[in-house]
Amino acid sequence: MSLIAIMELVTLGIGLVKTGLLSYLEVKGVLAKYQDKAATPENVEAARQELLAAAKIPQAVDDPKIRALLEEIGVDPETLRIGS
Amino acid sequence: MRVFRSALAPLLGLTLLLAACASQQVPSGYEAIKTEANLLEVSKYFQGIRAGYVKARQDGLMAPEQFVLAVKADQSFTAAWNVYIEAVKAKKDTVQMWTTVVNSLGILEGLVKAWVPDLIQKKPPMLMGL
Repeated sequence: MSLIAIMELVTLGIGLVKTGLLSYLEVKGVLAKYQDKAATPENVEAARQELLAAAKIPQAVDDPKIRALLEEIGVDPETLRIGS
Repeated sequence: MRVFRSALAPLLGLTLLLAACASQQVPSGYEAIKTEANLLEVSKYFQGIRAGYVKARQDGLMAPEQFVLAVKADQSFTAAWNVYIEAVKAKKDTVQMWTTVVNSLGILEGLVKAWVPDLIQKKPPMLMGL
């Protein structure tokens, strides 16, 4: 196996592990404070709302990197915005 | 290719195991919110796609018009996703809303797949059955 193939494998492996690990840590992080709290209906609902708040995704046109790349090619990011 | 697959198998297995662990990370008694935990995982998966196509553009691997198409598809998915999340919050989500989310994610994946080759391996288990 060539060095390039090995390097590609390592890069892909790191990406895969990182993706799984980030998901793991994200869920664990959001729910950490509920580990020792009784599962009352109020606590379960609060945890549910926190997970959902964390799951929301900002629009691409609000991402500074994406805005800069769009402007670089002469596209006004605001023309791609959905909603107000 | 066989060498590639055999070397990849343990890594893929570890990733799937970690993803499965993530869905098991709800504390005891909180099992009712596993679906919400899965939604958070999907949003992380999507953010990986976004980071992937942004990097592809930065590295010059995507043409400007392809990048604009990807951003448009991203915007459509994000809009559908956030509507869906709000509906789940209010417990008023429907199958049709979820279908819109999955379809718009599929369009984005289709567009950026050529520039983010390991996209399929990053797909969370939850979406595979849909």
